[in-house]
Amino acid sequence: MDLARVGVILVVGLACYLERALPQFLRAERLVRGRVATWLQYASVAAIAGLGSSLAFPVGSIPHPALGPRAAAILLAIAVGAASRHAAWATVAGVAAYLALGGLP
Amino acid sequence: MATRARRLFAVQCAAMTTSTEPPPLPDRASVRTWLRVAIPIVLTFFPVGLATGLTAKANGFTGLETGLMAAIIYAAPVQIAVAELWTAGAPLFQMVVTGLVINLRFLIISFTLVPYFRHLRGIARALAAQTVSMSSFAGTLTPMQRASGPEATRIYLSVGVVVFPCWVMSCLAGFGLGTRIPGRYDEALRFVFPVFIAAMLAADVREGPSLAAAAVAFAAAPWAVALSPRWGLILEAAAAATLISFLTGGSRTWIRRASG
Repeated sequence: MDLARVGVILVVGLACYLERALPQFLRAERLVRGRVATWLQYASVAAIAGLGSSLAFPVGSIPHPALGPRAAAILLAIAVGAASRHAAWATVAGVAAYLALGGLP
Repeated sequence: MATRARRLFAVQCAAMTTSTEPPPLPDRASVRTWLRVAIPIVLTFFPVGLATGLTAKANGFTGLETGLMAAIIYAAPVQIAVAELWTAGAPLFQMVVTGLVINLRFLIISFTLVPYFRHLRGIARALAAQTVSMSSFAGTLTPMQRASGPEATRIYLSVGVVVFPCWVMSCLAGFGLGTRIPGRYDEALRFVFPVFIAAMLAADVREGPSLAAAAVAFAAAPWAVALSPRWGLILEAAAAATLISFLTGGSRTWIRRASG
Protein backbone atom coordinates (compact mmCIF):
# COMPACT_ATOMS: atom_id res chain seq x y z
CA MET A 1 0.00 0.00 0.00
CA ASP A 2 1.36 3.38 -1.04
CA LEU A 3 0.78 5.97 1.69
CA ALA A 4 0.93 8.88 -0.75
CA ARG A 5 -1.79 7.24 -2.84
CA VAL A 6 -3.92 6.64 0.25
CA GLY A 7 -3.43 10.31 1.19
CA VAL A 8 -4.66 11.38 -2.25
CA ILE A 9 -7.70 9.10 -1.94
CA LEU A 10 -8.52 10.57 1.48
CA VAL A 11 -8.16 14.20 0.35
CA VAL A 12 -10.17 13.73 -2.85
CA GLY A 13 -12.71 11.68 -0.91
CA LEU A 14 -13.07 14.44 1.68
CA ALA A 15 -13.61 17.02 -1.06
CA CYS A 16 -16.23 14.82 -2.72
CA TYR A 17 -17.90 14.19 0.64
CA LEU A 18 -18.10 17.90 1.42
CA GLU A 19 -19.73 18.43 -1.97
CA ARG A 20 -22.40 15.91 -0.97
CA ALA A 21 -22.78 16.95 2.67
CA LEU A 22 -22.56 20.74 2.71
CA PRO A 23 -25.95 21.29 1.06
CA GLN A 24 -27.48 19.36 3.95
CA PHE A 25 -26.08 21.78 6.50
CA LEU A 26 -25.98 25.07 4.60
CA ARG A 27 -29.25 26.82 3.98
CA ALA A 28 -28.19 27.89 0.52
CA GLU A 29 -30.73 26.31 -1.82
CA ARG A 30 -31.47 29.68 -3.35
CA LEU A 31 -27.89 29.98 -4.57
CA VAL A 32 -28.15 26.78 -6.56
CA ARG A 33 -31.30 27.37 -8.51
CA GLY A 34 -32.15 28.37 -12.03
CA ARG A 35 -29.22 29.06 -14.30
CA VAL A 36 -26.57 28.23 -11.71
CA ALA A 37 -28.01 24.74 -11.19
CA THR A 38 -28.35 24.25 -14.92
CA TRP A 39 -24.75 25.32 -15.52
CA LEU A 40 -23.51 22.99 -12.78
CA GLN A 41 -25.47 20.13 -14.33
CA TYR A 42 -24.03 20.81 -17.80
CA ALA A 43 -20.50 21.18 -16.42
CA SER A 44 -20.71 17.87 -14.59
CA VAL A 45 -22.03 16.03 -17.66
CA ALA A 46 -19.42 17.75 -19.84
CA ALA A 47 -16.60 16.83 -17.44
CA ILE A 48 -17.68 13.17 -17.42
CA ALA A 49 -17.98 13.11 -21.22
CA GLY A 50 -14.63 14.84 -21.57
CA LEU A 51 -13.00 12.38 -19.19
CA GLY A 52 -14.31 9.43 -21.22
CA SER A 53 -13.26 10.98 -24.50
CA SER A 54 -9.77 11.93 -23.32
CA LEU A 55 -9.24 8.41 -21.95
CA ALA A 56 -10.52 6.73 -25.11
CA PHE A 57 -8.59 8.94 -27.49
CA PRO A 58 -5.47 10.25 -25.76
CA VAL A 59 -4.05 12.39 -28.56
CA GLY A 60 -0.49 11.42 -29.41
CA SER A 61 -0.23 8.46 -27.05
CA ILE A 62 -2.18 5.65 -28.73
CA PRO A 63 -1.09 3.97 -31.95
CA HIS A 64 -3.12 4.70 -35.08
CA PRO A 65 -4.27 1.07 -35.54
CA ALA A 66 -6.13 1.27 -32.22
CA LEU A 67 -8.11 4.36 -33.22
CA GLY A 68 -10.48 2.54 -35.59
CA PRO A 69 -11.57 -0.17 -33.13
CA ARG A 70 -11.86 2.42 -30.35
CA ALA A 71 -14.01 4.78 -32.40
CA ALA A 72 -16.20 1.88 -33.57
CA ALA A 73 -16.60 0.58 -30.02
CA ILE A 74 -17.55 4.01 -28.66
CA LEU A 75 -20.04 4.62 -31.47
CA LEU A 76 -21.62 1.20 -30.97
CA ALA A 77 -21.86 1.77 -27.20
CA ILE A 78 -23.57 5.13 -27.81
CA ALA A 79 -25.99 3.59 -30.31
CA VAL A 80 -26.89 0.63 -28.09
CA GLY A 81 -27.12 2.87 -25.01
CA ALA A 82 -29.44 5.33 -26.72
CA ALA A 83 -31.62 2.54 -28.12
CA SER A 84 -31.79 0.28 -25.07
CA ARG A 85 -31.38 2.82 -22.23
CA HIS A 86 -29.16 0.21 -20.54
CA ALA A 87 -25.59 1.38 -19.98
CA ALA A 88 -24.36 -2.06 -18.89
CA TRP A 89 -25.52 -3.81 -22.08
CA ALA A 90 -24.18 -0.99 -24.20
CA THR A 91 -20.80 -1.29 -22.46
CA VAL A 92 -20.72 -5.03 -23.11
CA ALA A 93 -21.56 -4.42 -26.78
CA GLY A 94 -18.85 -1.76 -27.10
CA VAL A 95 -16.17 -3.86 -25.45
CA ALA A 96 -17.17 -6.90 -27.53
CA ALA A 97 -16.86 -4.80 -30.68
CA TYR A 98 -13.44 -3.60 -29.55
CA LEU A 99 -12.27 -7.16 -29.05
CA ALA A 100 -13.80 -8.37 -32.31
CA LEU A 101 -12.10 -5.59 -34.26
CA GLY A 102 -8.70 -6.52 -32.93
CA GLY A 103 -8.41 -3.97 -30.15
CA LEU A 104 -6.40 -6.31 -27.95
CA PRO A 105 -2.65 -6.28 -28.34
CA MET B 1 -38.74 -14.83 3.78
CA ALA B 2 -40.98 -11.85 3.13
CA THR B 3 -41.17 -11.05 6.86
CA ARG B 4 -37.39 -11.24 7.13
CA ALA B 5 -37.07 -8.81 4.26
CA ARG B 6 -39.51 -6.43 5.96
CA ARG B 7 -37.59 -6.64 9.23
CA LEU B 8 -34.31 -5.97 7.41
CA PHE B 9 -35.92 -2.96 5.75
CA ALA B 10 -37.03 -1.61 9.14
CA VAL B 11 -33.66 -2.18 10.83
CA GLN B 12 -31.75 -0.47 8.04
CA CYS B 13 -33.76 2.68 8.45
CA ALA B 14 -34.10 2.71 12.22
CA ALA B 15 -30.63 3.98 13.04
CA MET B 16 -31.02 7.01 10.86
CA THR B 17 -34.44 8.35 11.73
CA THR B 18 -35.19 10.91 14.41
CA SER B 19 -37.85 8.80 16.07
CA THR B 20 -36.89 7.22 19.40
CA GLU B 21 -39.72 4.67 19.13
CA PRO B 22 -39.13 1.24 17.55
CA PRO B 23 -39.64 1.49 13.81
CA PRO B 24 -42.94 0.15 12.52
CA LEU B 25 -42.72 -2.96 10.38
CA PRO B 26 -43.18 -1.75 6.80
CA ASP B 27 -46.05 -3.14 4.81
CA ARG B 28 -45.62 -5.41 1.80
CA ALA B 29 -46.09 -2.51 -0.61
CA SER B 30 -43.11 -0.68 0.93
CA VAL B 31 -40.91 -3.72 0.61
CA ARG B 32 -42.04 -4.23 -2.99
CA THR B 33 -41.17 -0.59 -3.72
CA TRP B 34 -37.78 -1.07 -2.10
CA LEU B 35 -37.02 -4.22 -4.11
CA ARG B 36 -38.27 -2.63 -7.32
CA VAL B 37 -35.94 0.32 -6.84
CA ALA B 38 -32.88 -1.29 -5.24
CA ILE B 39 -32.42 -4.38 -7.42
CA PRO B 40 -32.06 -2.54 -10.77
CA ILE B 41 -29.58 -0.11 -9.18
CA VAL B 42 -27.49 -2.92 -7.76
CA LEU B 43 -27.58 -4.74 -11.11
CA THR B 44 -26.45 -1.55 -12.84
CA PHE B 45 -23.74 -0.84 -10.28
CA PHE B 46 -22.14 -4.26 -10.57
CA PRO B 47 -20.73 -4.02 -14.12
CA VAL B 48 -19.76 -0.39 -13.52
CA GLY B 49 -17.94 -1.40 -10.34
CA LEU B 50 -16.23 -4.19 -12.25
CA ALA B 51 -15.02 -1.72 -14.87
CA THR B 52 -13.87 0.70 -12.17
CA GLY B 53 -12.01 -2.01 -10.27
CA LEU B 54 -10.39 -3.24 -13.49
CA THR B 55 -9.24 0.27 -14.31
CA ALA B 56 -7.84 0.81 -10.81
CA LYS B 57 -5.90 -2.45 -11.14
CA ALA B 58 -4.64 -1.47 -14.59
CA ASN B 59 -3.35 1.79 -13.06
CA GLY B 60 -1.39 -0.05 -10.40
CA PHE B 61 -3.68 0.46 -7.40
CA THR B 62 -3.78 -2.28 -4.75
CA GLY B 63 -6.94 -4.06 -3.65
CA LEU B 64 -7.05 -2.12 -0.37
CA GLU B 65 -6.63 1.18 -2.19
CA THR B 66 -9.34 0.20 -4.67
CA GLY B 67 -11.76 -0.63 -1.84
CA LEU B 68 -10.84 2.53 0.05
CA MET B 69 -11.38 4.62 -3.05
CA ALA B 70 -14.77 2.99 -3.69
CA ALA B 71 -15.93 3.61 -0.10
CA ILE B 72 -14.57 7.13 0.35
CA ILE B 73 -14.91 8.68 -3.10
CA TYR B 74 -17.98 6.57 -4.10
CA ALA B 75 -18.21 7.93 -7.64
CA ALA B 76 -16.96 5.89 -10.59
CA PRO B 77 -15.88 8.79 -12.84
CA VAL B 78 -13.90 10.43 -10.03
CA GLN B 79 -12.31 7.12 -9.01
CA ILE B 80 -11.18 6.58 -12.58
CA ALA B 81 -10.02 10.18 -12.95
CA VAL B 82 -7.94 9.91 -9.76
CA ALA B 83 -6.42 6.60 -10.91
CA GLU B 84 -5.53 8.00 -14.33
CA LEU B 85 -4.27 11.34 -13.00
CA TRP B 86 -2.17 9.58 -10.38
CA THR B 87 -0.59 7.44 -13.10
CA ALA B 88 0.05 10.59 -15.14
CA GLY B 89 1.78 12.21 -12.16
CA ALA B 90 -0.76 15.02 -11.71
CA PRO B 91 -0.58 17.22 -8.58
CA LEU B 92 -3.06 16.70 -5.76
CA PHE B 93 -4.77 20.05 -6.35
CA GLN B 94 -5.61 19.03 -9.91
CA MET B 95 -7.09 15.74 -8.75
CA VAL B 96 -9.25 17.53 -6.16
CA VAL B 97 -10.53 20.13 -8.61
CA THR B 98 -11.20 17.49 -11.27
CA GLY B 99 -13.13 15.42 -8.73
CA LEU B 100 -15.16 18.42 -7.61
CA VAL B 101 -16.07 19.41 -11.17
CA ILE B 102 -17.06 15.86 -12.17
CA ASN B 103 -19.17 15.54 -9.02
CA LEU B 104 -20.96 18.87 -9.38
CA ARG B 105 -24.13 16.90 -10.06
CA PHE B 106 -23.99 15.61 -6.47
CA LEU B 107 -24.16 19.19 -5.20
CA ILE B 108 -27.45 19.67 -7.04
CA ILE B 109 -28.76 16.25 -6.01
CA SER B 110 -27.88 16.93 -2.38
CA PHE B 111 -29.72 20.26 -2.45
CA THR B 112 -32.69 18.43 -3.95
CA LEU B 113 -32.55 15.89 -1.11
CA VAL B 114 -32.56 18.54 1.64
CA PRO B 115 -36.33 18.24 2.26
CA TYR B 116 -36.04 14.46 2.43
CA PHE B 117 -33.05 14.45 4.85
CA ARG B 118 -34.63 17.05 7.13
CA HIS B 119 -35.94 14.27 9.41
CA LEU B 120 -32.44 13.00 10.19
CA ARG B 121 -30.28 13.86 13.20
CA GLY B 122 -26.94 15.64 12.68
CA ILE B 123 -24.60 12.64 12.50
CA ALA B 124 -27.18 10.50 10.72
CA ARG B 125 -27.62 13.27 8.15
CA ALA B 126 -23.84 13.52 7.76
CA LEU B 127 -23.63 9.75 7.16
CA ALA B 128 -26.63 9.76 4.85
CA ALA B 129 -24.90 12.39 2.70
CA GLN B 130 -22.24 9.83 1.77
CA THR B 131 -24.93 7.63 0.16
CA VAL B 132 -25.83 10.35 -2.34
CA SER B 133 -25.35 8.94 -5.82
CA MET B 134 -26.88 9.56 -9.21
CA SER B 135 -28.39 6.08 -9.48
CA SER B 136 -29.90 6.08 -5.98
CA PHE B 137 -31.34 9.53 -6.58
CA ALA B 138 -32.76 8.75 -10.00
CA GLY B 139 -34.18 5.44 -8.84
CA THR B 140 -35.86 6.73 -5.70
CA LEU B 141 -37.05 10.18 -6.76
CA THR B 142 -40.47 9.11 -8.03
CA PRO B 143 -41.32 6.85 -5.04
CA MET B 144 -40.07 9.59 -2.68
CA GLN B 145 -42.29 12.17 -4.32
CA ARG B 146 -45.28 9.83 -3.93
CA ALA B 147 -44.48 9.28 -0.24
CA SER B 148 -44.31 11.98 2.41
CA GLY B 149 -42.15 12.98 5.38
CA PRO B 150 -40.09 10.27 7.08
CA GLU B 151 -41.47 7.61 4.71
CA ALA B 152 -39.76 9.34 1.78
CA THR B 153 -36.52 9.53 3.78
CA ARG B 154 -36.85 5.85 4.58
CA ILE B 155 -37.25 4.96 0.90
CA TYR B 156 -34.06 6.78 -0.05
CA LEU B 157 -31.95 5.47 2.81
CA SER B 158 -33.13 1.88 2.51
CA VAL B 159 -31.86 1.91 -1.06
CA GLY B 160 -28.73 3.95 -0.34
CA VAL B 161 -27.44 1.73 2.47
CA VAL B 162 -27.83 -1.39 0.31
CA VAL B 163 -26.32 0.09 -2.82
CA PHE B 164 -23.24 1.52 -1.05
CA PRO B 165 -21.68 -1.81 0.08
CA CYS B 166 -22.63 -3.39 -3.25
CA TRP B 167 -20.63 -0.68 -4.97
CA VAL B 168 -17.55 -1.33 -2.82
CA MET B 169 -17.83 -5.09 -3.37
CA SER B 170 -18.24 -4.75 -7.12
CA CYS B 171 -15.12 -2.55 -7.32
CA LEU B 172 -13.20 -5.16 -5.33
CA ALA B 173 -14.57 -7.89 -7.62
CA GLY B 174 -13.33 -5.88 -10.61
CA PHE B 175 -9.93 -5.59 -9.00
CA GLY B 176 -9.90 -9.34 -8.33
CA LEU B 177 -10.84 -10.01 -11.93
CA GLY B 178 -8.03 -7.70 -13.04
CA THR B 179 -5.44 -9.69 -11.10
CA ARG B 180 -6.27 -12.74 -13.23
CA ILE B 181 -5.75 -10.87 -16.49
CA PRO B 182 -2.15 -10.61 -17.77
CA GLY B 183 -0.54 -7.18 -17.49
CA ARG B 184 -0.19 -6.80 -21.26
CA TYR B 185 -3.94 -6.28 -21.43
CA ASP B 186 -3.87 -3.28 -19.08
CA GLU B 187 -4.21 -0.79 -21.93
CA ALA B 188 -7.28 -2.66 -23.18
CA LEU B 189 -8.74 -2.82 -19.66
CA ARG B 190 -8.37 0.92 -19.30
CA PHE B 191 -10.55 1.27 -22.39
CA VAL B 192 -13.54 -0.41 -20.69
CA PHE B 193 -14.31 2.71 -18.67
CA PRO B 194 -14.48 5.18 -21.58
CA VAL B 195 -16.86 2.77 -23.30
CA PHE B 196 -18.98 2.72 -20.17
CA ILE B 197 -19.04 6.52 -19.96
CA ALA B 198 -20.19 6.80 -23.58
CA ALA B 199 -22.84 4.13 -22.95
CA MET B 200 -24.00 5.73 -19.69
CA LEU B 201 -24.35 9.20 -21.19
CA ALA B 202 -26.23 7.81 -24.19
CA ALA B 203 -28.52 5.75 -21.95
CA ASP B 204 -29.16 8.15 -19.07
CA VAL B 205 -28.91 11.72 -20.36
CA ARG B 206 -32.22 12.54 -22.00
CA GLU B 207 -32.33 16.32 -21.92
CA GLY B 208 -31.28 17.89 -25.22
CA PRO B 209 -29.03 20.61 -23.75
CA SER B 210 -27.24 18.15 -21.47
CA LEU B 211 -26.69 15.84 -24.43
CA ALA B 212 -25.34 18.79 -26.40
CA ALA B 213 -22.95 19.68 -23.55
CA ALA B 214 -21.79 16.06 -23.44
CA ALA B 215 -21.33 15.93 -27.22
CA VAL B 216 -19.33 19.19 -27.32
CA ALA B 217 -17.13 18.06 -24.43
CA PHE B 218 -16.68 14.59 -25.91
CA ALA B 219 -15.48 16.05 -29.21
CA ALA B 220 -13.25 18.73 -27.70
CA ALA B 221 -11.67 16.94 -24.73
CA PRO B 222 -8.86 15.00 -26.47
CA TRP B 223 -7.60 18.21 -28.07
CA ALA B 224 -8.08 20.29 -24.91
CA VAL B 225 -6.19 17.71 -22.84
CA ALA B 226 -3.43 17.54 -25.48
CA LEU B 227 -3.08 21.34 -25.33
CA SER B 228 -3.21 21.52 -21.53
CA PRO B 229 -2.73 18.12 -19.87
CA ARG B 230 -3.39 19.59 -16.41
CA TRP B 231 -6.39 21.83 -16.86
CA GLY B 232 -7.69 21.01 -20.34
CA LEU B 233 -10.46 18.72 -19.07
CA ILE B 234 -11.82 21.21 -16.55
CA LEU B 235 -11.55 24.22 -18.83
CA GLU B 236 -13.28 22.51 -21.72
CA ALA B 237 -16.07 21.24 -19.43
CA ALA B 238 -16.60 24.78 -18.13
CA ALA B 239 -16.52 26.14 -21.69
CA ALA B 240 -19.00 23.52 -22.95
CA ALA B 241 -21.37 24.21 -20.02
CA THR B 242 -21.15 27.97 -20.56
CA LEU B 243 -21.73 27.63 -24.30
CA ILE B 244 -24.79 25.40 -23.92
CA SER B 245 -26.17 27.52 -21.06
CA PHE B 246 -25.80 30.60 -23.23
CA LEU B 247 -27.46 28.95 -26.22
CA THR B 248 -30.39 27.49 -24.30
CA GLY B 249 -30.96 30.11 -21.63
CA GLY B 250 -30.85 27.39 -18.98
CA SER B 251 -34.55 26.83 -18.53
CA ARG B 252 -34.81 23.50 -16.71
CA THR B 253 -33.20 22.38 -13.47
CA TRP B 254 -33.31 19.20 -11.46
CA ILE B 255 -34.35 21.18 -8.42
CA ARG B 256 -37.44 22.57 -10.10
CA ARG B 257 -38.30 19.18 -11.52
CA ALA B 258 -37.91 17.54 -8.11
CA SER B 259 -39.94 20.15 -6.28
CA GLY B 260 -42.65 20.08 -8.95
